[in-house]
Amino acid sequence: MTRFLCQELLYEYVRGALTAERQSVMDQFIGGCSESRREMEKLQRGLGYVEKAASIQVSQDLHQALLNFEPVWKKRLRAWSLWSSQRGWRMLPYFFLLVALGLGLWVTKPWEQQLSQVQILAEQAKLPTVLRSSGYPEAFVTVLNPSTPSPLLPKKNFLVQPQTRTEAPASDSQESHTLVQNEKSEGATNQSDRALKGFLMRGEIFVNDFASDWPKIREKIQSLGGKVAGHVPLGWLRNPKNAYFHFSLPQSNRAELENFISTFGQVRFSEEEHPRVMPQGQVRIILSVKDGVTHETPSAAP
Amino acid sequence: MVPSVVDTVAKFFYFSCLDEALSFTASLRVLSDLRANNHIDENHRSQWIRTLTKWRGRLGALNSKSWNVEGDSRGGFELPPDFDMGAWMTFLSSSDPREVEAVLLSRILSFTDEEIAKGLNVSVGTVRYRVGRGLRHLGGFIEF
Repeated sequence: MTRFLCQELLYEYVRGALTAERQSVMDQFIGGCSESRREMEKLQRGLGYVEKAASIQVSQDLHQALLNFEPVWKKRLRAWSLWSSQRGWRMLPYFFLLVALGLGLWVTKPWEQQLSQVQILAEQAKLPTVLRSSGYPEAFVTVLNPSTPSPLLPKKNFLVQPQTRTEAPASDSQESHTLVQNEKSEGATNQSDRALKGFLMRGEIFVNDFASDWPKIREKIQSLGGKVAGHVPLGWLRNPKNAYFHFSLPQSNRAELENFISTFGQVRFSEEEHPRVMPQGQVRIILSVKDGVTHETPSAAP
Repeated sequence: MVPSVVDTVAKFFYFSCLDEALSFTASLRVLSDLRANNHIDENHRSQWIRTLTKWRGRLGALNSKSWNVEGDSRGGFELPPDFDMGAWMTFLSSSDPREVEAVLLSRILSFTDEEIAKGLNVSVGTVRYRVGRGLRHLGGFIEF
């Protein structure tokens, strides 16, 4: 027996958990080792202390508080419900809750946050993935090449030729990709697919008889349900040779408008990104009708 | 809910930090944890130890809250009249936390050595060694 071993066995010795043989060996050793006796006394004092500590009781109040704990807000809501129900206003707390919820939704506008995330994704050159997942045609996704150097969404141009609508090869332009749409073959489904959220159609047409043609176009737009957008009237004369149309139109009437306009000459439409998101089934169009005789240079929209 | 769970948990945290408000918060968490995992009954005493020791390590990250409506967090424990908490306080601050834990579980909360060994994932011999060593340290802090 060594002092180290004796101290290691002290706890079990004090508890009487050692074999009789070991117990007698320990008795003999402790009798002759004052250091081990001191250690044993400490251990016995410790045992006495923890016995008292074990007798500490949890008070009834704390016990109940732990058993029936409720957060402060829940307690207050319950008290408020009780108070209002005693006065016959049982629905009052729920009314306030609904108002608070509605207010929260109105302030945070979670649906707009979702939209902005889609826009960010598009700007991070993930546009093809977004478009595919949104159900846009593969041809359109291919046209919008993600390797385009501009971080913004590339433009998409449509060329509506007068009277005949045949497919034409894409141009070699690096800035924009031209796509001639054969609308008869693709049908109305693809037209609705192209009505992108946050986009507008920009087009211009050169007419031979400016003075009489632009009012006809305005009338047609109005008859097709076109409503003025922007800050100027429909058909605002930017100058004597240029009429400016900024309007929204039901998507279903777009083809008819294009057909009508194409009777005056060749019109070129391009789709551009726009912060304003149009309602489902509506398309925003900016059309410049210009005098085909003078062929003035285009200027920025107001 | 079995009352002994509540008392065991409350006492464990009280002796672990000597702060009634903090021990109340931690006790709520542990009881909620045990209830959620269906470990509230006496058959899961080793699991109690696992949960208790897990939350003991997180005491510093908890915000203490008062347990009574007056906002006063004292009076949750009934101490014997001649009991001196000073020795435990010294023991708590100056000894190996594993020894403190072993003494607390074994001698104050009356868990068996086997339950502690299972709960702490150590051998029974290790538990006894830690308890013996802890008790000797604690005895050294007691004035007589």
